[in-house]
Amino acid sequence: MISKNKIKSLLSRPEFSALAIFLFLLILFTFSNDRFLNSRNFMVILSTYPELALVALGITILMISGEFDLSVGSVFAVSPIVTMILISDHELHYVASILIGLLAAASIGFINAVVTIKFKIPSFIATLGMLFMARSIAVVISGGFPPSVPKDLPTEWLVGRVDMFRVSIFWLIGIALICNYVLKKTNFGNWIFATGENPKAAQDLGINTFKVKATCFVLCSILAGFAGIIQSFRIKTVITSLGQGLELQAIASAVVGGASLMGGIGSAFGALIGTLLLSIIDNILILSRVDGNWFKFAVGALIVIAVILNTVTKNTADKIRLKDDE
Amino acid sequence: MKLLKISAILISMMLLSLPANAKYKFSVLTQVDTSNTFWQGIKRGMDDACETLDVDCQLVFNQENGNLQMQLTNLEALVEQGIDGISLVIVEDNMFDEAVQKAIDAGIPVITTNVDDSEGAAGNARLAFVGQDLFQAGYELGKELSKQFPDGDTHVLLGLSAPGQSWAEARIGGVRKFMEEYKAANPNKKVTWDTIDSGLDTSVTGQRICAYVQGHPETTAYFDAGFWGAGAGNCLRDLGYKKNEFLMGMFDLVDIVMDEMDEGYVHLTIDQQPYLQGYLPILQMYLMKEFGLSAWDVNTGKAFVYPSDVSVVRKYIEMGVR
Repeated sequence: MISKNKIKSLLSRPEFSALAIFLFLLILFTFSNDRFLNSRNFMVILSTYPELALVALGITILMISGEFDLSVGSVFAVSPIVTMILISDHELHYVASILIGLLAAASIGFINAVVTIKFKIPSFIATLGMLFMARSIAVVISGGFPPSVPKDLPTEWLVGRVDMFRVSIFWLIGIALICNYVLKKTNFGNWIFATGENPKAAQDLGINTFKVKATCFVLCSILAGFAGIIQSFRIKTVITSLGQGLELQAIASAVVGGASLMGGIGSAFGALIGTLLLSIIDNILILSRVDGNWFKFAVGALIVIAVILNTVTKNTADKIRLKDDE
Repeated sequence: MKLLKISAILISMMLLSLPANAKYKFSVLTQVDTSNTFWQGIKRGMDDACETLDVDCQLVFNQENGNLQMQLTNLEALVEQGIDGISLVIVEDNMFDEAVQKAIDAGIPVITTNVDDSEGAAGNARLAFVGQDLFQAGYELGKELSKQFPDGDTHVLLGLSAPGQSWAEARIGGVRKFMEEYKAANPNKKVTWDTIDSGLDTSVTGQRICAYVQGHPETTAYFDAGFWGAGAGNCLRDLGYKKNEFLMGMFDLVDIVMDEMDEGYVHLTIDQQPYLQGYLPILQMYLMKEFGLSAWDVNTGKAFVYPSDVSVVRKYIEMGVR
């Protein structure tokens, strides 16, 4: 017999709904389409998954701290463009080029933090501005034509194939485990949750909320930049439209994974599940031959259903707590 | 205060970077934003024409990709401003009719570029169109690639990159028209096709094509309304597809298309010569203003590019002119 406390604890987990929907769809799709649950299909799904999940992971942590970043799609383009310009045009070593590419992403994240926190501008507006500026920077520094990815560039360590997986999935798992550890086991993780839930109370407790939020902004941008570099290495090309619209997809993944737009709620695991859920929805729509004109409707409807279920399970968990209290 | 000073310096720098007074001022309006690689080729053509003819030109990108109302507002502002000539893209048949008519009535020549009103001169007061006949180009793409279809049944996947947008609908509509004719001409073969929303992102499109193909291994070929389908090369290799085992046909010349042609995963692309779409409207408007000549239609795009052509066109791509 499962105790009420265990049920409450399970339902309270932010990623519970996404996980439940994921398992439901996994079973449904497995029985409805014999091409869904096979290694070849999952190889296809997992090829882009690490890139999307890294961005969603960064967004989730930032949302837990109570902020928001719409510029991740543009940062996703800036980092690989900077990296590739340094490698191709300036013949800099690829490791140094990648680090500078990530530094560019970190700088954008830091500017987002300063504008948002110091000038007390909502992050929605500040990062919306950065979305345009960073995209423009990507076009300007490349002159509209980013250099080609050199054919002899060593990419195996980042996107090489290991059986049905790409190495990038192991990078994702490693980074997600670190993020999960930081969020759940360290003081800094507690500060992120506290800052997101009630910044005033967090400040009263002596938490430097600027440093906490700035770190989350920078981390979010670095992860977006790193994801962009992974994608450009994988598809062996860099174009200035890389990552366009990705911000909405990443935010949808974070929200479906249980992160709250109000701050203080979310988990690294939820970001991974949310992204996986959206990826398999996309996949099954293709496999099911859904008419092209209905495609966006189906994706949108499933996002809404996932979020409604999130709310329902959270309310159910709250009610269980109230009964226990009685 | 510091912020204000920095802003003032930046604005001054931007104003100082504007060209000196030229005899004519022309504007080119598009519905896309600056990150569109293809439009950088049009911009290069426009810039070169403007430098050669010593006229002042501006390519007005949209802040928001595909926001037609924003493009219309920009057009109306330019007409009010009394610019010397306008070149623009028309991806919606009715929205720009009034503003273009107003420009023509005010003596401002208007030439459509890249995408025209689907009814051509009958649907809009513009004076000429410089670009590709999109439907015809789609038809020709289908016809040309079908020469490589293997024997036996044919199942084709059509990638409608942007459902509802006229350029994508027209190109894929052209391919579909050809497939209908192909089916009728081959009564002994089973000929079928499916259409998906393939998206406007190389990575997303690639993943969708591969998901479809692994689920429907009977698929013979893929047609893309743009160039994004080239993103499938990577995952097709992951799925174990050998060179030339799965046919892909698409549009435009960008690095990834050329790379995949080299690899044997893209077999045909159609170049619509964006450089000409930027260059020729400026030249025409200049000739109209300077010598009173009339505008003329130019079909810039039915140029087939095969894998064997890659080494030749690559140098022009690097120059940004193809």
